[in-house]
Amino acid sequence: MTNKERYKQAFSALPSSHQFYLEEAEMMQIHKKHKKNIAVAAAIACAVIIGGSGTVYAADIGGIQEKLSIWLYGKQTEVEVNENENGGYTFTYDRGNGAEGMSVFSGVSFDTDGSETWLTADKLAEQINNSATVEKDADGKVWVYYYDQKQDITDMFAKNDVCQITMTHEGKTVHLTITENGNGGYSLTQTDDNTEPETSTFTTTTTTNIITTDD
Amino acid sequence: MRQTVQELATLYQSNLFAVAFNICKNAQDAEDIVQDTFVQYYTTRKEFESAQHIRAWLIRVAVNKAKNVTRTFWRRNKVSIEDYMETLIFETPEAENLFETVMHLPEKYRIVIHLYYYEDYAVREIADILKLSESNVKIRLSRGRALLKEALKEEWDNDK
Repeated sequence: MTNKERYKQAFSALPSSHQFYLEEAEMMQIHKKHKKNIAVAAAIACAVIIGGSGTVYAADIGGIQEKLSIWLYGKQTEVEVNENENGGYTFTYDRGNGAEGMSVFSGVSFDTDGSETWLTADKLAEQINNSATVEKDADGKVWVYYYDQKQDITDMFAKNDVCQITMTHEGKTVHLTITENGNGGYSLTQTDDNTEPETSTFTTTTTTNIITTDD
Repeated sequence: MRQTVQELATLYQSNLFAVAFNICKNAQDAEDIVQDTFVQYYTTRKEFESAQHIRAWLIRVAVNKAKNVTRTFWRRNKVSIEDYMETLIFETPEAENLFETVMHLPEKYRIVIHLYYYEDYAVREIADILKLSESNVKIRLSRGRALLKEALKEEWDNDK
């Protein structure tokens, strides 16, 4: 058996039949929704640190709405929350050493019938708190943060560029799979002992690159 | 030339699902990507030179959409590859081992390996689909093969 035959045999295990919406009306409805999602993704494309102590001007329209306390980079951090014109929120915070951080978050919750609802800032903050984050610092070290915990995982990646670790906060254990995605970034998948596979009720996105594929 | 979406779904849905899954490692995301790929084909006014041109375009769109999914900070679906594999039926233990080994390769090697071994694309064609140089594709292919050989030993031959 050749390698190609071996490979095709292995991947033939993937399901070959799926239910797709291929009628005109169905596809146009998906297209309409997709355009909206791209607009959202494009609007949430920044998560930057601004040096110095100057004022951060976010691309928002609503002014400061409220202040929230959330876990960012292993520290309980007070953030100023501004709603932006795309249904998301800009979180501005002090990263220490005179640097201000600004992250733009947006999220949608899906009901069981597939309808979606934009998340409030409180719900976003709740999701941010519950989610671990990964960041490479200026020294090239890779850190994972979960609530008040901070762990250097730089040397914990296996040969396949995957790092798997477990972290616990107040009795809740999460299993993290961090993958170097080959583009200088990291993909993080988080599960906990109560995660039900097939359940998808929440999605939050901070996308930094949208690829157009019209050519 | 144009083909109907229905024709393309019959011909390529499995291939597109496999290529999307290869990158995003999640069945639900892969299905969404294939659906979106068909929608994008339906809504684009692009004219294609041949059936092979359409196929390559569809794969490129699916690859790009899958990469976008992997770049999202929080992943929507949280099924590990190991858990998902338990739902699949492999013909042999070696096939299962190969599948798992491939899925644990770095993405940049995984997709090149997949296009070469599953889609039968040549290096030049892979370079065109992924918008990489041919030498870059060769390097990724070589390194991916080396990792497969290292992990699979006698279950994987040395390719030239």
